Amino acid sequence: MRMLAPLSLTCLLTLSLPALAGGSHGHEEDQHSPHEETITGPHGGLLLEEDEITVEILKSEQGGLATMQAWVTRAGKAVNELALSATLTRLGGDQETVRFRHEGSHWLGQQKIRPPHSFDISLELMLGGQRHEWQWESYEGRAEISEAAAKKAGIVSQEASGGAIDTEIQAYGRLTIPPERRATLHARFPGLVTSVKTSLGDAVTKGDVLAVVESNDSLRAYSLRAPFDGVIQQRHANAGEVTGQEALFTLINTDTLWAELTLFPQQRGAVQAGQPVTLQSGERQFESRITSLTPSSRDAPVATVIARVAVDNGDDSLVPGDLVDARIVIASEQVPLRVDNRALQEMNGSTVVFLHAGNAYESRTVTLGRRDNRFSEVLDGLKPGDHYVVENSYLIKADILKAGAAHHH
Amino acid sequence: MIDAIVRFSIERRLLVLTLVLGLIGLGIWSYQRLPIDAVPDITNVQVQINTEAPGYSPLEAEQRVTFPVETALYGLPRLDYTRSISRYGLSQVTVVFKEGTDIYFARNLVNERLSAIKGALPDGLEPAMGPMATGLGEIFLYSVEAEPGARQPDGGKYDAIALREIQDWIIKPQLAQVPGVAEVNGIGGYDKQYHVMPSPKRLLQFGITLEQLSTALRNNNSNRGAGYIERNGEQLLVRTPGQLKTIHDIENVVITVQDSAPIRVKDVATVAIGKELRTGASTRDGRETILGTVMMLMGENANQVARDVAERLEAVKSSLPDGIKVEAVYDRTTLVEKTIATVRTNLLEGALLVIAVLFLLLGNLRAALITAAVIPLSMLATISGMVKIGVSANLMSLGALDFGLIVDGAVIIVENCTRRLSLAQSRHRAVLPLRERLQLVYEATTEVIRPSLFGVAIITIVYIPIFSLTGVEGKMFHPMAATVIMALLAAMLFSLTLVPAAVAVFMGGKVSEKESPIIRSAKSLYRPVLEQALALRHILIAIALLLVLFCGWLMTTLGSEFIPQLDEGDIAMHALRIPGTGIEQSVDMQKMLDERLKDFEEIDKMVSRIGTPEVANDPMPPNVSDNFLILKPREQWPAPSKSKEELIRELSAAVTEVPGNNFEFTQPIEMRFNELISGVRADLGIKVLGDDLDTLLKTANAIMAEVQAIPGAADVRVEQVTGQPMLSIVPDRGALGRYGITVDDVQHLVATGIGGEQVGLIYEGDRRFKLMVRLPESLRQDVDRLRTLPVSLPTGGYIPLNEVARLEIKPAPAQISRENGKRRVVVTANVRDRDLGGFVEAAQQRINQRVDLPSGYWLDFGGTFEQLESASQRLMLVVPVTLAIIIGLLIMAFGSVKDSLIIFTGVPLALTGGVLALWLRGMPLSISAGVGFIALSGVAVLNGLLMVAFIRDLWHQSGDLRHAVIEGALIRLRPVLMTALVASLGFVPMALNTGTGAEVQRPLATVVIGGILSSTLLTLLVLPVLYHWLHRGHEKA
Repeated sequence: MRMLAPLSLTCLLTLSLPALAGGSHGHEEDQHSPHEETITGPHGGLLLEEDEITVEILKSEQGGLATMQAWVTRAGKAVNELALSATLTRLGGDQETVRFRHEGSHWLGQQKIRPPHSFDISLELMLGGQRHEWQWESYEGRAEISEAAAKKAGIVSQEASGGAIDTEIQAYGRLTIPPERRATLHARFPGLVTSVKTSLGDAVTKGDVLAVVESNDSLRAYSLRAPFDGVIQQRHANAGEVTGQEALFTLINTDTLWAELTLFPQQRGAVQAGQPVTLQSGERQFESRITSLTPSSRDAPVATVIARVAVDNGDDSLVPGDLVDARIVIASEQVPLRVDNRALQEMNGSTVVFLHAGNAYESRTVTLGRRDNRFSEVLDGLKPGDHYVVENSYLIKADILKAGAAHHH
Repeated sequence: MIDAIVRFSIERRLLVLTLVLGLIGLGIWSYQRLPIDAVPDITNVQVQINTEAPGYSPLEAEQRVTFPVETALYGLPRLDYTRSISRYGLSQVTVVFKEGTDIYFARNLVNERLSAIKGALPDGLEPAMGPMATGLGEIFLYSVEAEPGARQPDGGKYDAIALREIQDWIIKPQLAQVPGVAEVNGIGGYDKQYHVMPSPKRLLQFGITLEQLSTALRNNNSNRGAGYIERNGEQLLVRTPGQLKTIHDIENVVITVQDSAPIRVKDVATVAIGKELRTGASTRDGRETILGTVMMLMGENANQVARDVAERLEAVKSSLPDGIKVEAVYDRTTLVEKTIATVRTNLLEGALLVIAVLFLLLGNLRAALITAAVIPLSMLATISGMVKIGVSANLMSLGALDFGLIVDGAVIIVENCTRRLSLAQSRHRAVLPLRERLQLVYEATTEVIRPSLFGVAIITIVYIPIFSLTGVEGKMFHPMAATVIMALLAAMLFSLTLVPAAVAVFMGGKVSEKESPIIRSAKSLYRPVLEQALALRHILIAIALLLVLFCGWLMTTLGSEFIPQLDEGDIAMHALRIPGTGIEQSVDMQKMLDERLKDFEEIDKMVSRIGTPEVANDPMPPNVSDNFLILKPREQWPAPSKSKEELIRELSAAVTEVPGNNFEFTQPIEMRFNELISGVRADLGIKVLGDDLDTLLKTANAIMAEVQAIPGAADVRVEQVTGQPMLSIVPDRGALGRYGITVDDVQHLVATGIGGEQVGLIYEGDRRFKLMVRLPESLRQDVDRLRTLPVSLPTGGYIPLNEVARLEIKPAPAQISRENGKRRVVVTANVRDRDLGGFVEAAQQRINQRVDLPSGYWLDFGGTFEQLESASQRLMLVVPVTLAIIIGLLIMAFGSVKDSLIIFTGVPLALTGGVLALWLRGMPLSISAGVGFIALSGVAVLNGLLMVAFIRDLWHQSGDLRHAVIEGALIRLRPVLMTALVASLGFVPMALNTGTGAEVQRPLATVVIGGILSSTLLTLLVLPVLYHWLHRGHEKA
């Protein structure tokens, strides 16, 4: 007993210490993975048991496709006379069946399973005239959110459908007066300007007399008339002056302007005459089409192409020299399936959208084709009629990946 | 010497009493200076160096800031280690010094080094040391909100910018002046900024570059003093004011002149008050708010400072604009008051119980009062000592004080004096003359002083192993041991001096030793039982032995925890979202969470802090939020009996419904400690250190796979380092060359356009706001439009950004962690159902064999296993040594190994009661309980000591062993019962209390009460029997 005294005290003090380990990480224990409950068989697969029959199912992935293997035993002995099949039900109700064939020591699923490998599995075994069935869930990238919570969170889904994809490029352009709308007017014969009828800024119509000149040769007065409707932009003539080669007036008409859009090397390949263009100047938008394309004449280091677009300026709201934004629709096509760009999220290095059915949301890796600034064409991974999350899709991503969210100090 | 002191105290009794009065004065003076907090401070000695690097990505922050700062710190004296994190816009280096380093010294050293490297850091970046506060520093939280309908002077609603301005320029400057406040840290809202947002199109139109715009703003925004002139004898100061004051001023700055027309800022840009690119936000009850955290200076009195801050906040309210509501959300005073109230009640009730017992058993009120006087006196002396050595009053330091234990020595002396006095009086049949009385008191005192001093010394010694604890455990329990030892020493001193002096002075009259009926009946009961026990000694000893063995087994079945967690009353909840979540998205998700939590009627207020506050003392990424859930007083709950665990379970279930969050529940102080201490909190942490992040991650993953395969491994994880999507705008050097522009031109454009460039300050009185040039939001947010962002060419004209740079989005590190100057990635694992040491060994072996470590990379094994191992090793050494010292002391006192060991049997016998009591109350083993066991062994030795000493003396006098055993035991019955009763009753309030903080003290009290009951019983029965049995051979001696 005497020996016990120091011993037990030592024990006591040292025993109470391992508590440190137990107490300090309590909160980390709640975050176990969802697969923890499953019973693993000798081959590392899922173990299913009923009566004396044991089935072990192993799913393995190669190159994105999954295959299933099974080992069936009865009372510990392998069985060979049986029929085994699995029905996989994916989110949204798609079903596919995998039939197993005996191959060497195990049963091999004959159908390869395409991704995503997330489904409810129902396994059917016919053995000795008796039917056994097991059902379990094998989910990947799935989140469950109640309707009320989704509504509160502002999660909105939409049916996937076809539609137009307008591929656009952006460019800047400067407004100019078309060459046929600008005239520099000269006196036909040198002579004395006897009178000038219009001044700067005056609007004139075609045929209006602008000035009267008395020819030096004939000494007869003749009229200089406006060749088209327009505005006098420059005037160099006054009564009493003698004119020779110099211009008397510059007449412009700004009812129609040209936007000269500068196209840079990466853009110019896609642009062709006739393509629709939306021009924006300030708050106003103008719709037009590309009239022509010409290489820029300047000796700039940039080899650019000038695309000309006619702009109607009947109300005189635009001024030559203004810079405008242009969106050129380089392609407009109807695609069989498109999704809203807001639905796209990156997950594990690939682009996904979230399929929605009932309270379940599941990520679907999609292959995208053309895209514009609102929609993207879906080539693979989604079907028309599928419901996918458009608004607040980030929340679904966050919910699927949340188990991995941790705080490291 | 002891005799001399006692004699002196009795002779100069009045002087002694006067000195005691002086001591009372000192105690009261000290009490006012005693820092009071809820729990001991377990923060290590650390200095945080925060460098804000606006716009820097984690990689750049690490390369340009963290690395130079870390390098500068190499070779600091008393440096323990450094660790750092580099995040978006922030580099934080934490320098941890060895325990005991003076914090001012440490900060000075760091400051010196920092000033030396200023030149090595990029322009405009200033490393700053974090506030001088500890984990207990966050003592006060308040929120700033506008009442619905409140309007700004200009008629607009108060938005997050305006509220932040109020916090920064009205509230913060006033609160920062409260003595003891280290920092007022704001989070939430937006820093007000003046934004000049150029339209790329308009810039092109006028052929103006961003650079020209910035330069124009820079050159047109300053005041300048210009000396003075004298005019007619009068001095005129000269200045040329040119500062921009209003948006209108900014709009009208002329950039250039074209065709004699000035081009003004407003021609190419819009100017408005804008939002900073914030890194932190906060919400309250589902609305965005501004949260201020008041941090207390290290070593201040939390209770006092929090109260002062609350008072000042009231005063601040009068200076706020109408309709602005400032409200305290968290106030440490509440918790401190609650815990201190618990401790106070425990101590007070304990003391009263002790006095009552003394009176009942001594049967003499004066004697009882003299003994009881030792309680407040030693308390005052202890407080003086605590102030002197800098121990704060808190749950732990005051938690182990048992006045019963403290007065044990005094009880023994007073009891003996009373007994001798009344004996002498009854012999004289009259009151004793003074001289005789003094002599009697002297004799009575010295008769028992040795054993009682001895006992107290032994109780003191058993606390020594606690001092061998280091780290967090040490910080937790050292104050406790120090306080108890000081109290014991003080009580010992008083037993030597005050007690005899007071007995001599106040017990002059007739000392009636009305042996109280309790003692009489106890004695009449005790004698036959003891005689019976002597007869059945073999059976008795066998029973005792069995009991010890049984309790030894029982102990192993008790669960264990480290320290019972103090229930702070409030809940802190981490909401974790996936890395890469943006701050605004995080705020939206937080609001949803708040909405859900509103349904809980138990919650009074809830606030959250998202991301990093202004002073980055806890640099959280934007995807993490700290939620403070301040609970209503229990009475106001719909179901007041609901336990906190239950509430947390319900909360957890509720918040999990809200999509996209992961949660951790903790408590405000606990959370802060965790953030600051921040070591690896798993059982095993394997740090992979090296250069390349990808290699580190690959190696870490390989290690994780290996560790997972070891039996016993649980929760194996690799620290998350990636997951921050990054848009890289990679300049194409060939294309740049063709167009004659440099990489810097592109970088400048991107940095200015997206991040913004500060081009000056706008002053409004004292307030100053940044003037920024930044692209309009609509452009900044749209990656597709960024591609066509025009880059100006030196020859005139422009080129779209995507002609000269590649835009790519891919994941990048969200944070880079470093330790001791190297990048690191940690693999953590816990161990279940296996001994830790063996697991660690297995892991080391397996990793050595199977993981191929690239050259230049190495591993570092750490984690709690280290602390556990070192603590166990130390205790394995210290505990036996302590026990040996005790036995040695006993042997010295008795000159007999046999007697010493007999006394020592009291220890395991006492422990049985403690174990049984724990088991009965369903409590696990914990360090608190362990401290109880320590105290217990002291008491057990003390009781045994007195018993054996008396029996031996009697035996020597009478020569009859059996008679000596029975009579000695009977004489000691009263003091043994008294010491046992006072010691256990003193702890009863503590064992039963359910107030805040009681859960920490309860195990200790439970162990002591149970242990003393068993120890008393066994001291009274087993000890005499053992003594008789072991000495029977020498009976004839």
